[in-house]
Amino acid sequence: MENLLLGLQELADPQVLLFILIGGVVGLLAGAIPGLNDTNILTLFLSFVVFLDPFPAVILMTAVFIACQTAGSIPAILINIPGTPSTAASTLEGYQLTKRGLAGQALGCSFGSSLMGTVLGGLMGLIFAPVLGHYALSFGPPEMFMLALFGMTAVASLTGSSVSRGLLAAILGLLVGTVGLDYFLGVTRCTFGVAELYGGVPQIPLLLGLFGVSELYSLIFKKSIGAGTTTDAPDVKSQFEGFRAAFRYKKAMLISAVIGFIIGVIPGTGATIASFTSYGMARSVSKEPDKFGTGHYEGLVATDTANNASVPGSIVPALTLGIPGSGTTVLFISAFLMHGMQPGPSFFSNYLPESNAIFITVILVGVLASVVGIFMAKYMVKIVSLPTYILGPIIAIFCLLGAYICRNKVNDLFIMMVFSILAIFLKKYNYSLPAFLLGVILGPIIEPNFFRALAISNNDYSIFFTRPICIVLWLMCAATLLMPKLISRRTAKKGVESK
Amino acid sequence: MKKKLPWGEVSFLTVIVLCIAYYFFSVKGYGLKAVLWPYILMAGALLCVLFIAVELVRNASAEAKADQTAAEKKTLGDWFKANSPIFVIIASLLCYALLLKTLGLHLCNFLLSFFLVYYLSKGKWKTALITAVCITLAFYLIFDLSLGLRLPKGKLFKLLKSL
Repeated sequence: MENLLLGLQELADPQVLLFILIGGVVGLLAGAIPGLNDTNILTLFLSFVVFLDPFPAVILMTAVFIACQTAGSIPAILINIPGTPSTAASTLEGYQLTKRGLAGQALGCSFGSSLMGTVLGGLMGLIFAPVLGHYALSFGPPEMFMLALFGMTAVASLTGSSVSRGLLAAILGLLVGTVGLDYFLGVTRCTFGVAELYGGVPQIPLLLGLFGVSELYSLIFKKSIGAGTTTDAPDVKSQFEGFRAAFRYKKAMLISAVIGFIIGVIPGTGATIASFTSYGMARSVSKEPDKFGTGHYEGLVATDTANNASVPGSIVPALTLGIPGSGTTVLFISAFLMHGMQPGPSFFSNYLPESNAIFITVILVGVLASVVGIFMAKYMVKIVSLPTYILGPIIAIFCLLGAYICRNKVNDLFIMMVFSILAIFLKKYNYSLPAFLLGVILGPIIEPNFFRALAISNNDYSIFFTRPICIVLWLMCAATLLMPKLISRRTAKKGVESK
Repeated sequence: MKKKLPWGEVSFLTVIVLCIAYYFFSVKGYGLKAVLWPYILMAGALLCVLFIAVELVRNASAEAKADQTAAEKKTLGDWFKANSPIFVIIASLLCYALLLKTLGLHLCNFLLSFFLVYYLSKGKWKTALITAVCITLAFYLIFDLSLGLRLPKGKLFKLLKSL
């Protein structure tokens, strides 16, 4: 309780409150733009984050992250284009409701569910994160190596089009992470003689290239993001009706929040899987399963609650273990690393009030985004008609400036461009971009812990196979690698049986 | 009948293998602690490339040789044509990076945004001019005045100032 109050005290600073407000509003606007997801927007925010203290910076990023998730449902419901990939499931029921002339009610229901998702997820984060943080303190180098390896395999197998493509992306990321001076002998590895690479590949140009500039390459082929779509502006009264309707499905809400949070904690899964899983679960436990797919509030409650509850879930492993739960939380780790702080087992014990402040921000922004969303929805939907010839140059200059100002080096711009070109091909051939990024981020954790583990065991490799936590993590690695194959086999078998 | 391979992805994998080979030779001769981890990763990457290659060959659809050659020629030409906007953007970003120190940040911002709006709006120069001025001004206000950053003014500006 004392730590909770200290967390609230952290937020009492007017500057932090201003960041929450700015982050919330920017997140709402950005989330309503299909094609620009939370990762893209937070990557552009890194240009500012460099100049802020670490915790206000992460509070700002949290606010953007949460508000983006809430606003992503607006275009999904109104024009059948998800604002963020994770709100794709909201189109299943939301757009059907819009087609029935219940756009306002659908939006209200979505805002109500998002609010409960973030509040319940935030509370679960406040309760379970310190427990996990305390437990993680007992992790030694072999466990940390295995944990990072598990994070990599989970992301690689669950995000790419195939396990081998996901793994290759992750390994390429790890290889990029080895560029620069090595930890033990001080020799330079694969720097091409470029002095800027001696300290490793700079993270901000890399992130801006992978998620900012590469998004620009796909945007330029469209006239405007929502070209060819029209919708009526929803009124506030009907949204309140929908808001109340969401609370008729308390059971679905609670189950979805728990599913969303748990899936959020698992590295590599994220909000998209959470919302589809809870949609399926809600349908199977519903009293009216036949209504699903025709514009049913219960389905929308399930998707939007889970989607928002997964966000605090994904922050938990990022802070307590240093392993990001989703691609977006990689940026949280980057923000801390930029300020010389390494999230991980000791992080929660050292910064408990600040970490609590992050989860309280989740709850605050969840409430703020839902309330503001109800009143702003009719204006926000107009953003989708913003022409790309306006949006394109803004993104381009933000990326160039962001890459340049972190170290004032022109070579960083070239590094950004190299990674933007790599991102084109990774996206084109369905190689997981989050897995690649995770490889780069986790590289500096995996390699030193690998050698430290060998040092304590006198170069005995069995240390990775004999400790209990390592064995559990090996089993989890195997499960995540085999799961996609087993699921596809089972689906194919079911398909044959039904035929 | 001959199998049709997705040559785009095959080329991508070939480039990856070449990059790995470059990395391998660039660290050859270093102490074991410096190269063990990269070597493990390289072996893993090559194994994955092998798996993907097998997967590609297995999934390749069977097509007549003549049709395949014609389709390939068409695809390559089309590919360059269809992706020309990307090449234009990359070229403009490269120019920005090369001219940054000479022209200074704000002039580069203006020129880049003018060019991009002009190109993407298909020749609306008035819109391009107004948008470029607004964007440049906005970035000046945010980064120069509000954040007070030391941004490159450019050799040209310094030269004009000295005159």
